[in-house]
Amino acid sequence: MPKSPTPGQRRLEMALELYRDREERPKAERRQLLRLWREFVYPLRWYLLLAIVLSLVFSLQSYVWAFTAKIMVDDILRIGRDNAPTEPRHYQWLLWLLIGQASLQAIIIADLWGYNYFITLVGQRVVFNLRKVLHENLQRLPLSFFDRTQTGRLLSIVLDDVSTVQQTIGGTAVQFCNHVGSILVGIVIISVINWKLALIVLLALPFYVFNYRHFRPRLRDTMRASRRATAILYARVEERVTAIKTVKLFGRESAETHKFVMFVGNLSRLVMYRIRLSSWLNAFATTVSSVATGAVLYFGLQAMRQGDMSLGSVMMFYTSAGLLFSPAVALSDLAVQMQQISVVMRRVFDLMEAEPEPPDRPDAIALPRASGHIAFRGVTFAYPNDEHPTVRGVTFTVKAGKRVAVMGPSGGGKSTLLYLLMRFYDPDEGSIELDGHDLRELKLLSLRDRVTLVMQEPVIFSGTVAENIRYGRLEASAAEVRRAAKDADLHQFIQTLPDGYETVVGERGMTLSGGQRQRLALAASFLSQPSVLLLDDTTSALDPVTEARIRKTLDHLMEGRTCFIVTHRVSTALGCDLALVLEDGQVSQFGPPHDLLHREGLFRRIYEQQQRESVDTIA
Amino acid sequence: MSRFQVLWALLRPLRGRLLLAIILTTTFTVFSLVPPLLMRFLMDRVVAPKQWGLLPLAILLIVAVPIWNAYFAMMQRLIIGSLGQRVVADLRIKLFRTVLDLSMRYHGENGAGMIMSRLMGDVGVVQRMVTGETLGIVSSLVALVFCSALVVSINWQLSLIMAGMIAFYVINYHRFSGRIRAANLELRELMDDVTGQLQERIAGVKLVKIYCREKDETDAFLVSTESALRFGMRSQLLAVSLSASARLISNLGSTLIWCGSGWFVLQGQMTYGSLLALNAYVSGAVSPAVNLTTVAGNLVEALASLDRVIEILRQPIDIADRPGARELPAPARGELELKKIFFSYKPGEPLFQGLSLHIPAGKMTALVGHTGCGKTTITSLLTRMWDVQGGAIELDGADIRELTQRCLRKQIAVVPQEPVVFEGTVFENIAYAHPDATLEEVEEAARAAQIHDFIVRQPEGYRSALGKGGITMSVGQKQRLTIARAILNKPAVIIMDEATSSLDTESELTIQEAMKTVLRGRTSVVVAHRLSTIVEADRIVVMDHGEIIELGTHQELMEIEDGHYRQLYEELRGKQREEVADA
Repeated sequence: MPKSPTPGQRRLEMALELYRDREERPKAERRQLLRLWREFVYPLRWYLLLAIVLSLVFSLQSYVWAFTAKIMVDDILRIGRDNAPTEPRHYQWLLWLLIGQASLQAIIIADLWGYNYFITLVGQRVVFNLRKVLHENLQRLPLSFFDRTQTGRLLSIVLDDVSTVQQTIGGTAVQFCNHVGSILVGIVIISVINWKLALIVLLALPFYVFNYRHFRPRLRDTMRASRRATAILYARVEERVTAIKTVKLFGRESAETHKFVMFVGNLSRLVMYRIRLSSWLNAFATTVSSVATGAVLYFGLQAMRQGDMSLGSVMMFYTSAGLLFSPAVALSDLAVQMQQISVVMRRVFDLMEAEPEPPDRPDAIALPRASGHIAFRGVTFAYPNDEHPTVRGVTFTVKAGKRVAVMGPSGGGKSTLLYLLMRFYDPDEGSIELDGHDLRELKLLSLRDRVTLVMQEPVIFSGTVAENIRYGRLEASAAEVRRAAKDADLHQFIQTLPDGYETVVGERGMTLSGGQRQRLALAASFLSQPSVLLLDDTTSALDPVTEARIRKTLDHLMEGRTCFIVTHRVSTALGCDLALVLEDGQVSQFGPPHDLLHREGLFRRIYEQQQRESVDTIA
Repeated sequence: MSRFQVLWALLRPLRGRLLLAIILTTTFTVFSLVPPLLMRFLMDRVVAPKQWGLLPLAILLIVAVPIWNAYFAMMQRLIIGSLGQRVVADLRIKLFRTVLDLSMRYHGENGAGMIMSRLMGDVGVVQRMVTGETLGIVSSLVALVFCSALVVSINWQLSLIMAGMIAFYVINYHRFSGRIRAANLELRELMDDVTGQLQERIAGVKLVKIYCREKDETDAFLVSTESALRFGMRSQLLAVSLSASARLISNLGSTLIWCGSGWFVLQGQMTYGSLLALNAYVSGAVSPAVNLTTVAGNLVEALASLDRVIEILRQPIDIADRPGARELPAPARGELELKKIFFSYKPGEPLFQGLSLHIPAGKMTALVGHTGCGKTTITSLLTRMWDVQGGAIELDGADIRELTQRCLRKQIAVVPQEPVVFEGTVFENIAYAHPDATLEEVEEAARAAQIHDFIVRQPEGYRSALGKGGITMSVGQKQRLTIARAILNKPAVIIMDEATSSLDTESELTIQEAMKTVLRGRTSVVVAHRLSTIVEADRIVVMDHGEIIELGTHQELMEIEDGHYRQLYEELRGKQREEVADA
C-alpha cells in the first residue's frame, strides 16, 4: 500500500505545482548558434583562444602544487625512506623549492589576471555588438510588433538576456574547454603514477556525477518556483499597498493579511524544500568522494608498504584525485545550462530576426514637397490577432489644405485611420494615396517627413526642453526652436524655468502639466513643417483655460495644411471644412459639418446631446 | 524601545531554537577541524612508525568523519533554515498588517515604493542578519580561535608568519573594497540611465517613428551602452585585482609557511603529520579572518535595514478601533451629522474650523466648490480615512470613532474618482468586500451598475480575468465595476467622487444612468463636477476654503442674488455653452 502523504508534503506539492514554470524550453537552433559564432564570436576568436589557454594554465597549478609537495616529501624530507642523515644540500633544495614555488605563484597570478582581462574584453565586445544589432532591428520593427510585446519584455531581452549570452561565452564555453582539459590532464597524471589506483577513482566518478544529475533538476525547479513565488508575492503586495484606500474602505485588512500569510507560507515551504534538497545532494556527494579518496589512501599506503610507491607519490595521487571531482560535476551540469541558455538565445535571436517594417520598394520615390491631397480607396484593416477589422471599406477624398474633423464612438477606428495615414500599418485591402501616390510607393522616411501626428497623450523624453522640441527636426537652429516654442505659446513658460531651454524635463527632471506637455509636443510638430497634420484628440485631457489658449496655437499651426482632427466635440467639428463620422470601422457620414447638422445621424445626435448639457434645463 | 529590544521581542519566542542553532554551529565548526588531525595521526602513528595494523582504523576515521560532518551539516542547515523562515515570515506578516492598519496620513507621506522596499527587501536583509551574519560570526570566531590555537600549539614561530599574512590580507581587502563599491555604484547609475533611455524609447516608439528618428536613437543608445560597458570592464577588473592580490598574498604566505615547516621537519622539531595539519589549519584560519572583516560591513547595512523596518513597526496606529467599540444594529438609517469639526492636513494650515453639516438619510447631497475647498476631505473624514482633530462625526447618532471600522465601512461605501481594479476575475473584483457572495448577488449589483451586459459578453463571463493578460476595460467600464463593488453589500450610505476628466458622451451617459439607479433611496454624498448631477441633488452644499457658504436645493440657491452657487453654475454652464457658441 502506498504511503499517504503527510499534510506537510501535500502542501509542498501544491506549492510546487502552483509556481511551476510553464515556459517551454526548446533546444537552440543550430542556425542561431552558428550565427552567434560567425557574427559575434569569430571576429574575437584569438582573444577567446588566449583566454582558454590562460585558464587551462591556471587550472594546472593545483597539479603543480601537488607535484612540489611530492618533491618535498620524497626528496627533501625523505619521509618513509631510509633514515639517511640530513645534509646541507637538503636545506639548499628547500630554499630552491621556496624560490621556485614563490615565482610560480607570481606567474599564476599574472595568468589569472590575464585570463580575466581577455574574457571580460571578449564578453563586453560581444554584448556591445549584440545590443547594437538588436537595437538597430528594434527601431526598424513595425508598430504592430510593439502593440503585442510588452516594454518590459523587450528591455529584459536587450539588457538581461544579452548579458546572459555574454556569460555563456565568457563562462560556459571557456569553462567547458577548461574542464575537459583539466580532467584529461588529471587522468593522465594519476594513471602515470599508478594506473590501478586510477581505476578506483574512475569507478567512483560516475556515482558522483549521477548524484548531481539526480538532484540538480529538482533543485533548479524548486529554485525557479521560489523565485516565481517571490515575484507573485511582490506583485500582490504592491497591488494592495498601492490601492490601500480600497482595502481600507472595504474593511479588508484582516482578510488581506490572511491571504498574505498563505503566500508567505508557500514561499517558506519552497525555501525549506530547497535547503533540504541541496543538503541531501551535498551529503551524498561527500559520501562518494570520501569513500573514494579513502580507498585511494588505503590502497596507496598498502602499495607503499610493499615498496611499489613512495609516500610522496601516494600523497600526490591523493591530492590529484580530489581535483577531478568538481570539473566532472561541472561538465555534467553543462548540458542543462546549455538548455537554459538556448531559451535566452532564442529570445535574443528572435528579436534580432523579427520582421522589420517592409523595406521601401526599389522604385519608391521621395516626395520633396506635398500639397496634401489625400484619398482613401476601399481601405480595410484589422490589427494582428483581431478577427474584426477595425477599419472597413473606408473610401473618401480630401482636397489639399482642408480641415477634416474625425468623430465617432470610442473604438470606432478614429485613431487607426490616422495611424494608417502615418503608415504605422499597411491596409489589408484597398489603398491610401497622398498627392496621387500610393503610400507604399513612397519612401517611408519621405512620407513621415510630410505627414506628422500629434498624439493624444504626449510623449516627453528625459532631456532638456530644447531637445524635446528639436525632436521634430534635429537640425533646427536655436532660433527656430525658440520660434516654435513661441508659436506653441510655450516660450513665456520656458523663460520662467531655472535653466530656460536647457532645463531637464521628464522622469529625472521637472514634471510638466498635461497642458505643458501637450504644447511641447505641438512645438515639436511646428518645427517639422509637415504638409499633412494629424491631431489625435489632442485637447481632451486639458482644462478649458489651457484648451482655449491651445486652440489659438492650433489654428495657427493648421493654416495652409491638410489636417485631420480626432475630436469628441461638435464645436470643434463645426470649425472644420469637413466632418467624417466613423462608426464600427465604417464611414457613416461625410461632408461639411453644417450640412450634417441637418441630416439624421450620429453627428446630429451628438450635437443635440451636447446642446442639452450646456443649455441646461431648469424648468 | 531600542532596535535590539524590538529584535529581541521578535526572536524571544524562538530563543530555544536560536540557542540550539548557535550550539549546532559551534559544534559543527569544531567537527570540521578534525580531519587534519586524522591525517597527522595517519602519518605520525601509522606510516612513520610502520604500525600497519592501525591503517584500517585510521582510514575508516578519515572516511567516516567527513561523512558524519556532511549529515550533521544537513541537520544544522535545516534547523537554521526553518528558524530563518520563521523570522522572515513573522516579521513580514507583522509588517504587512501594520502597513494595512496605518492611516492614510502615513500612506500619503510615504509612497508604495518605499513601503515595498522595506517589506520585501529590508525584511530579507534582516533575516539574513539573524541566521546568516550572526551565526557566520559565531562560526568564523570559533574556527579562527581553534585554528590559530592549533597552529600555535604545533609551531609558534610559523604562527607569526600566519598572523602577518592575515594582516596583509585584511589590509588589502579594505584598500580595494571602498573603490569597488564606488565603482559598482557608478556602474549601476550608468546602467539605470541606459535602461531608462531604452524604456522611454520603446514606450514612446510612435514618436520616434513619427519623426523618423530611428537611426539617431540607435546611435545615442550605442554611445551610452559603450560608456556603461567600458565602466563595467573597469569595475570588473577592479574586482579581479582584489581577488588576484588576495590570492597572491595567501599563496605566498602559504608557500613560506609550507617551506618553513619543511625546515622544522628537517631540523627534527616537527613531524611530517604535523606539517600537513599545520598547513591545513593555516588555510582554515585565513578564510574566517576574511569573513569577519566582510561581515562587519554587512552588519552595518543589515542594521540600517532593521532600523527601516522598525520605523514602520513603531508607527502609532492613529486610526484604530477603540476598546469596546461597538457595531450599529444591522440596517443603519444612514443619517450623518458633522458637529463642529476641526481638521488640517498639515499643522498650521487648518482646513475645517468648526464646520457643521447635517446629511439627511435617504437623500442625495451634492458637494460643490472649487478645487481645494475640502469636498473630498469630507468624504475621507466620513469613512475615517482620517480622524477629525476636533468635534465629531456621527452616523445615526453614534460617534463614528465609537464604532468598529469594519461596521463603519460596511455601512458607508465609496466609489472613488479613479477606479481600482485588482488582478483576478470579474467576480472576485466585484465581490472584493464579500468573497462569499453568491453569483446572484454579484449579478444583481452588476445589473444595477449597468455593467452586467458587458460582463456576460466576455467569453468567460464573470470568471474572465482582469489585469495582466486578462480582458481590457475602458475607464468608464472600470468605473461601473467599482460602483457594482460598492453596492454589493447594500450599504446605507454611498459616497461618490465624480471623475473630473471627461469621457466620451456615450460612456458618460451610461455612468449617469447607473448612478441614478444606485443612489435611489439611499443616503448619498456626491462630490459633483457635472451640472446634470448637481441639478438633480436633493441638497447642494456649496463650499469654499473649508467653509459651507450656501446650502439648499438648486432652485433655492439660484434665487439668491449674487449667490456663490449662481456664479458657479453660470461658470460651469458657460464652459459648456462656449463650445456651442464657437460654431
